[in-house]
Amino acid sequence: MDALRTVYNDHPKTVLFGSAAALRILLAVTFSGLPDLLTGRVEISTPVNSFKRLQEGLFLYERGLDPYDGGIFHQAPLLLPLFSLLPSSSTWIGRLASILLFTGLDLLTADCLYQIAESSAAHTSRLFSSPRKDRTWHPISVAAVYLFNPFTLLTCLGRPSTVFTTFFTALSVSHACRAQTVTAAFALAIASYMSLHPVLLLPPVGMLCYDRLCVQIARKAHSPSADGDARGNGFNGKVAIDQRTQPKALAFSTQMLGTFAIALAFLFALSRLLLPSWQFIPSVYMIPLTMPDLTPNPGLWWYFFIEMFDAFREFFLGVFWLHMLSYSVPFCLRFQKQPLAAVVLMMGVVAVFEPYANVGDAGAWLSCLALLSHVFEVSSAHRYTFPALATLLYAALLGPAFHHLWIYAGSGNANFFYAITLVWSLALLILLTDAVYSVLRDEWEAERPEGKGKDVRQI
Amino acid sequence: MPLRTSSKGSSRVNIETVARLLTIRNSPILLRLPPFVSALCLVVGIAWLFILPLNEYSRQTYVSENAILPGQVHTYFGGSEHNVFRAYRHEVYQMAQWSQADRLAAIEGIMRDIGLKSARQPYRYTVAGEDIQGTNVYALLQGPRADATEAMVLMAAWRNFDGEINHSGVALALTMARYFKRWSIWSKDIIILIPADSTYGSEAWVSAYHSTATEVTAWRNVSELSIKAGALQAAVAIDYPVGPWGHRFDKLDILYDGINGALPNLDLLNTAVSIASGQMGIGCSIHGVAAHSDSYQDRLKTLARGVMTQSAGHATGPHSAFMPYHVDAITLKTVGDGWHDEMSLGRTTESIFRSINNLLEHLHQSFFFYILLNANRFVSIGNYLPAAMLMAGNFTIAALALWLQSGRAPMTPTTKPADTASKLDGLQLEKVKLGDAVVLVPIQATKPMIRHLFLPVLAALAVHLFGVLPLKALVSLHRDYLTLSLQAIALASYLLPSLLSILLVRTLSASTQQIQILQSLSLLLLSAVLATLATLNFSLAFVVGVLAWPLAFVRPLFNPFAASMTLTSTNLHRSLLLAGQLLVTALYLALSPATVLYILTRYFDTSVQWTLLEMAKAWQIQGVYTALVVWAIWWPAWIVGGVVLTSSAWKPRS
Repeated sequence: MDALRTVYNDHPKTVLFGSAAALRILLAVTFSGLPDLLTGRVEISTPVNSFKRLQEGLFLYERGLDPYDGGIFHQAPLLLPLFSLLPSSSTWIGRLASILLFTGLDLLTADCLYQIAESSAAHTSRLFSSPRKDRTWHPISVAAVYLFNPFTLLTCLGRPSTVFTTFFTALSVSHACRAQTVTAAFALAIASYMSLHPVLLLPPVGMLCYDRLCVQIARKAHSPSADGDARGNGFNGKVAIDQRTQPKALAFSTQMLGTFAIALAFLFALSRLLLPSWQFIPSVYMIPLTMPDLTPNPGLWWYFFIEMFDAFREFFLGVFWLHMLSYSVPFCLRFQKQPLAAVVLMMGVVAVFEPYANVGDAGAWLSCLALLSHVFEVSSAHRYTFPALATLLYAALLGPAFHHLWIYAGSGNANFFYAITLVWSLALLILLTDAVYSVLRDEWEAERPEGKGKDVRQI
Repeated sequence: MPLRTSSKGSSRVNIETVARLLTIRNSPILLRLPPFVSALCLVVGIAWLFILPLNEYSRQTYVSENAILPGQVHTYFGGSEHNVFRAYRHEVYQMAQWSQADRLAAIEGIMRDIGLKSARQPYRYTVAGEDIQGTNVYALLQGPRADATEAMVLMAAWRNFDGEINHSGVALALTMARYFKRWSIWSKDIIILIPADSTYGSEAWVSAYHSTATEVTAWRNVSELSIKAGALQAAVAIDYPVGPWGHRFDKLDILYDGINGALPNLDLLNTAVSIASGQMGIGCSIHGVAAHSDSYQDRLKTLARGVMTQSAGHATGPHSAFMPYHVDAITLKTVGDGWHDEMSLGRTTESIFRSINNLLEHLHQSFFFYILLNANRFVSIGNYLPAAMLMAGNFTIAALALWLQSGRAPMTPTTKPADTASKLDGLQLEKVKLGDAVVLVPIQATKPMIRHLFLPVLAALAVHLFGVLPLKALVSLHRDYLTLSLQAIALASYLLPSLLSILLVRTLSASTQQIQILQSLSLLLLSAVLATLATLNFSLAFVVGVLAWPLAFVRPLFNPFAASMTLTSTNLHRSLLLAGQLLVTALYLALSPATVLYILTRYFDTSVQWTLLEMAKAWQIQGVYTALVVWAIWWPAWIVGGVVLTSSAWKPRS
């Protein structure tokens, strides 16, 4: 026991990552049917990220055909050469190899979250320093929340390709926290190339990156002896900022956007080299925009568009997408002082409102909420965290049960499952609004410390 | 709780509003309410079931699907068919004396003579050291108007559910086959199936029918079917175990419960009932309540029997195996002494098949979730589901209350201050400033405690995973060890709560708050699982909810004669408290899963070993998940309840 404790105290990260990897591999080896079962679940695999569909695309690709011809495969082309290196996933060795790959991705994502938490970007920014920053969780806890989140665990075994998107998004944010503009933009470009919706994160991530850049420069100016790492060690509170040394916002955004655009162009060109035609562009990027495949998922779109008269389809597609778009810039404006909160909240909006919603994105977002751990105190005391989590538990159990009643037992119908997806989304939205409340409340209390602990009311 | 306010003029209103809001949110009354609310849920949930038999809450059954047209056709089964039937019955009686191989050959011979394609299917299951084997015989009648996409099944198991040889049933099935063969009206294929055994024979057959390749394992060897038809629309089994000289029956008992409490579409049942009673004049009964006077008591009795068999989830006849495959099926069982003969049963069967033959699509119109009160009265899901949901809700409320409590500074709950003044002294007060005004509120109301979640989460997870052990032991051990292992589990479950609470409280020094969180998480999980289960198998969720009810009210035991208590209460009061606690502990122990199992076997007058063996077979062969619910859901929740109960006893005295 003591030996274990010593090992854990000396190398917490190694122990955590090792046990997370061991758990995933152990689950896949002990229950050999589990990965394929999870791959078939509609909650995890959607038309745009299903591992099964990836196999279909791979089959066509390896025979020199256009993988987008069949109308089944809608994932990014660069996944194909990567997965063609792995042995066929119908054999046990291929299954193990794919599990190892996705385990590796999970570990890398957790490492990114670790670095984001370590950078203290959550509670300290150019314009703001949270009064609750001593309540922040240890980075290792943030990584642990991601690695042992049951939704992440199930997603890892189900192997949807959105895990790549999650990883590149986290990578981009972690680079933004270190003020590395070019790499942050590049990683975000890869994430957007994989599944389109990370484009919505461009404004908040850009803002975060700019903020960290300012902090870094200010700190350099403040203590010229320091070597300029942005880790926040020995860096408490706001820094007196000299406006003259600030980077120009216009130049910064040009650099960010330029890198993003060039990276995307490069990725498209590379994809075109691998494939016989440009067909992948409509097949990958028009699918989430027009939602032709209405396979059920835990999101809010499918049922709505099944019921829709065709004449109104385009209109409502526009409305739904505008709704999602409409959060990106307002969040940036409102959370100017806490750019990381803007990024995390925008990820939440995407996880709830995206057309092909899945448990993986929701789980990754729930884990990312741990980055805002310093304000948990506010939300658990004044808001509905526990009821919302209890509702998530209910929905997570009732969802598969209702899907079974509808599809297999034949004694239920689509309304059962749709009702549960509504409950699921409601619980996620309550958590989202609670996070918004806590972050804003924290900001308000920094200005007015006398309001701490008081109930909100309208004046 | 506003205590003293010092305010100036206009801000008084504001202060009062704030104070009132604080009062409502943090009122001690609100915090003491949940146990009463959850008790109310419990009582209403149970009472709910007792009002269902009333006319206001149940409905007359009706045939919902237009295409069925029950009893609208003239039945022609009769006349010389009676002679054929008697001949077959004698042949079947002869076969019963022969060896299995000869018997199978003889049945197949008859089927071929009739002009049907026939086949055999041997199967073998090995569970708990018991070998279950047999061979099903079946034949396919290709419907003259059928396109081989749909089929219906006429079944007569060689041995009925009670183990008697089904002489007249098998003979009637063969006669019906011969008779059906002559008709040109069949637009679906008809499969005549003679399973060797009522439970596992039909299970083997229907599972092979719905799989493309069967895998042979150590415990399961089911051959593939050489002849198949289209999607099964419905199955009707005949249970008429009467010897060669015949016996007139009084009523038809219609069996309909499937595996795990799944039910056939109500239309199939209604069709059978309306044909038997309306067209043929044969009375129908449900769950063996033959003398049903349609009184409240009889309705309640039928309801209770239905809930019991469905919560056990086991097979009740050859039809049960069909339900998990989305094939609606019933068994017609003859009961009593009366004046109906085999020909009326044959004509009933004929008419039912004519009705199924009329179907244009799979039965879907009517209810899949219902509780029958007699053959033509039912309660639909909307009326009975709230009962189970209230049971589940009771645990959720308890979990939420415990969670709230765990987030507050501990108040000493057992000391009741004599008057308000001493109450005020006991509370620490805090100033809350609002503008230029000051409110004093109890410190508990404003200072949320930090919850230490790691240990409770880990403990809850570990206990629930631990539930796999008794399950694994009871479904995979040899039958000779089953009774012993249940005894061991019973003993272990009496000791485990104390041991665990010693481990948690002494070794890992868990605080009262952490124990509360542990209980809250366990109750939350229990309630979520029960709510989910209620949608799949209402009866099981309800019964487990009723049996687990004390878990919502379990609180740590305390010693009423301890020094801290002597100040406030009289000796009598303390003795009453002690007696109350002993009662609670006894109730808690009496409602352990193992004890309940012992009590149930005693009540139903079966041996423990037989019950355990049946549970193991049902789990392994038919996938009945009652054992899983008991050992992996209820048992861990019960253990956590015990940990909470004993937690204060092991607290190191400081």
